[in-house]
Amino acid sequence: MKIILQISFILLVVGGILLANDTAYPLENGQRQMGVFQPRIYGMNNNLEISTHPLLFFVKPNVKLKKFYKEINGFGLASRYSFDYPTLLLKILQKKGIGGLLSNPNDVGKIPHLIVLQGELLATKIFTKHSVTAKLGMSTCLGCALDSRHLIDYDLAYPRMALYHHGIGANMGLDLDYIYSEKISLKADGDLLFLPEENVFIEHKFLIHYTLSSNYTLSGGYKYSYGYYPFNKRESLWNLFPLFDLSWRWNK
Amino acid sequence: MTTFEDVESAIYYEDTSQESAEFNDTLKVMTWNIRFGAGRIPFFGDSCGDRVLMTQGETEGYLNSIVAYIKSTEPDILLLQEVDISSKRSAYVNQLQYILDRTHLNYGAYASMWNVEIVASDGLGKVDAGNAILSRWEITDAERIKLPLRTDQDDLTQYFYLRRNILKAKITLPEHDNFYAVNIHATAFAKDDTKQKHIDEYVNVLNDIEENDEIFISGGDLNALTPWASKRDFCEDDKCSDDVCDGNYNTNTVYEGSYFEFIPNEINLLRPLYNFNPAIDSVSLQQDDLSLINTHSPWNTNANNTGFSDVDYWDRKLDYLFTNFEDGFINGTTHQDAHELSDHAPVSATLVFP
Repeated sequence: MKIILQISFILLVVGGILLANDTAYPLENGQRQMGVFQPRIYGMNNNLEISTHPLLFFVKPNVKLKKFYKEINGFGLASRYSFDYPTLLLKILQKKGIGGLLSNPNDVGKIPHLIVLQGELLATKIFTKHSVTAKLGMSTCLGCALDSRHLIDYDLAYPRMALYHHGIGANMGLDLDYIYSEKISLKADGDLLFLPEENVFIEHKFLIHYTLSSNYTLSGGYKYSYGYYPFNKRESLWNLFPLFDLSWRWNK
Repeated sequence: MTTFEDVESAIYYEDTSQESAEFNDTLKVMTWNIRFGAGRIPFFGDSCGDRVLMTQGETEGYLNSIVAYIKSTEPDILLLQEVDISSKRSAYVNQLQYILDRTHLNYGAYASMWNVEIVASDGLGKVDAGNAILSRWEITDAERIKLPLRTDQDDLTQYFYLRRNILKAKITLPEHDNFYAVNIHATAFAKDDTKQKHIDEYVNVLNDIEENDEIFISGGDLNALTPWASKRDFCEDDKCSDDVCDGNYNTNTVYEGSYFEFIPNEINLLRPLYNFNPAIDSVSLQQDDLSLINTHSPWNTNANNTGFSDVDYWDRKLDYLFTNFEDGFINGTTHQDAHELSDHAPVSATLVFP
């Protein structure tokens, strides 16, 4: 049972990473959105949007705040700030036996308190059938000096966990959303992740959204990752992961 | 998890700076399970410890000691087991390349026995470990010969578990174009008949070479006792503090790797190999000459492994060398002085060509 819980949490964490949706425009006040793997998003007044993953919150307290400012020359501008405390989750993953993704405390050491803060600027231009969003961000995990042996040397996980070791990182990306028909829309994005003493990590995803009803959307696609990891410092690796999710919207 | 064909090409390595390789009609051969360069660190799994992930400094420290020992013994052909080439537990140091680059040995061949992108157990992470043959002379025709999987595991465990193999390669000895080296690391923990299957396949490989009028030197960690070993239950020696040796051999996991009578007639398991010429002859084994025999002991024989003489330090023989060369080996030696470098002692011997 404990292993099933662990796997569920990992799926939620990975799903949240894979399916992140970037646009400067927030949900309208009173609108709510959630997915199986995506966080719960609350549209607030004053062009604010708050999101958190409620199930994950108990083991990985997390909250994201997005503030839309205004449009300049047709570009919607927003900033986004997030807080993340992964210590509890990492402690769950630090165990002996099956399910132990991190080595025991007597080997590499205890998981310290890790407080991750991220700030991003978002700019979105909306056209008739498509929109383009540019993103630029900085992340800090001040005082973090997690032993590098605690990092999971695997696509997607490594560049995010490496922040707990290096203490600082940056990201930039571009999102393209295209409305193909009333029921089908497409999303493609590309992200660059920068960390000290590491080569740049590149990620890209492509999703097809199918609107099942006014409230429900089914999504499927892939995530591509590219990078250099501790075991292949001289030769880059890439990987593809399938993506799927069901999300739903409602009004308060 | 990487899967393998029944027989496939091994992976070739070369020293970045070649050393001279004169052949003076003698050939020293050595086999050594180097325990992935972990020395006697109390690892989880095999020695009742907590350690899982070494630092690069720790790994290179032990590897440097192993390199120094190899240089001092000067084998012409070296059979290694438990060589990590890309494992998180040994800081991703490519141990085969590391040893080649720092010794007189020029060529290597590698066959992985465990290649998993991420082992989600105990924080082990990525593993690529296996058998290697190192030689002064060029290696060709290197084959990875698949050995049967254990059948006493559930499917999930088996999926992530070891894929053991025999590594067979031709050594281009000057004036000898029919010379092979064969390296094996047989199953350690199986309670079914997997060990019998591994040894049977090993004997078949060696017989095939012999039938082709070719010469082999062969050996490795057979994880089996000699036919003359009187003690066959090492549970009390190997158990961790919470373990109990209760005689329930098939259900109590503490007996895995410590009890050597799981298969019928296991006492005679290695007897067919003694049709070839062993490095340590059967007369010495029957006379219980411990200074020639024992090659292995677990960490927890003693809390810090000090206070032992060379003979007392090791408590069983698992590592062997054989040849079908008609004159046999000379100078068969079990290097019991190599205390802290691994949980196995090297075994070496020499062929003298007419």
